[in-house]
Amino acid sequence: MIASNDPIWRRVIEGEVNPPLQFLAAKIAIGHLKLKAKTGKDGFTVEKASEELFAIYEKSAHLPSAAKDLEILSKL
Amino acid sequence: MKKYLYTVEETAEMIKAGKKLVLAGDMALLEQLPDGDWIAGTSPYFMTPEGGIVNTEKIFVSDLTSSVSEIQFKTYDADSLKNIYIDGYEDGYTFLIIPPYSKVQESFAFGAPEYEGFASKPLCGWVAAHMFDQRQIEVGKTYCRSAKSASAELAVAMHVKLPANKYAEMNLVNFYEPREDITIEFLETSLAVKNVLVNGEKVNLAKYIADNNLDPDLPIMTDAFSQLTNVSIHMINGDTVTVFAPVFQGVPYKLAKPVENLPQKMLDYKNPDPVSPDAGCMCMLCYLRGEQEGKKLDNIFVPVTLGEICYQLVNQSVITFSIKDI
Repeated sequence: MIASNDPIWRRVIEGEVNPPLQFLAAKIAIGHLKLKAKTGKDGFTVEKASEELFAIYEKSAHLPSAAKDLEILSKL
Repeated sequence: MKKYLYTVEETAEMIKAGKKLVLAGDMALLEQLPDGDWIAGTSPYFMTPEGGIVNTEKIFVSDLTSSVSEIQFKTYDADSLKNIYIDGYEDGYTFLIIPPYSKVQESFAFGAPEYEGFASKPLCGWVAAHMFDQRQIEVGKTYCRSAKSASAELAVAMHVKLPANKYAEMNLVNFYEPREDITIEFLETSLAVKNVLVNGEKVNLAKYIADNNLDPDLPIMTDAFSQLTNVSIHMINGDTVTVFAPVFQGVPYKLAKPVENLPQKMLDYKNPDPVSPDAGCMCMLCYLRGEQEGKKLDNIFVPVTLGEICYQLVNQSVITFSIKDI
């Protein structure tokens, strides 16, 4: 599992990298997290969005599609 | 071949045997069922191994019994639905059915991405449907564990904890592709749209669609969620375009490319999973515009509904839900 403080979570949220992800929950969530971080609605920040994205993967790291994504993300 | 359609008597026997069921069927059938571990929504439209059919004599049964470790049933109104993710089991999934044209549907459509724990657990489901010639007489209803629970206002949920060696997998099948020459930005998150930015220029969307002879049957699409998702146009009334799921401010959208022959495209679709899904749904617009009555969709047998729930509300697509071994 990629560490919670790894810069990759922030890079995904900021759109610096757009890897071809497979885990549907993360794919759907990323769009909303990016939007919320961009608008800053209710004090939402890139850091908060990065934490939430990490949490989604942490919880599902044992699932095949999430594991494949983590492998891809770990190489970026 | 696995059976999907059951008589009331057969379904009642399954309920009495303690099966954990997600049901779709005509209201007159669902209201004959005994109490038990089931949720349901009305719809008489189904994709079956024999093809797409309208059937008011049988109930479409998704039997999820074999992978249930623990189970809870709950109903939600427009306010409490915000807890749908946090109410679910940590190692499980939630199946949700919502009544159409209801406050709870509107709440979910707008609010789901803001719910605590959004997308933290698999959330699959659909919006109940009805016979199209009955819309003025009856609306779609939901049921939770009892025929007496019929509601046009409450969403119903089955929260399931999975055995340690199982996980839930969802897939979204999209038959459309975005055209790259038109980008639409919505000025507010809404179900009723007037002015938008088309390629950066402020225009009235209804007028733009008419002036450019665009097909309103095609969905509005976005890949902002790293997954192409569709929003369907419900109707154009004067200067207002209403949509079946919200369009979000700050998200770039595209119009879908015209599909030369949607029925054939759906017929040609190959499900990458050799095993039929355990549950799921097909959008009514795919069924109608894809002329699916009598036609088969490769290996996917699901009810036809008025909206698809794949973590959030989406349109004009097919959702498959499968329990897999880890």
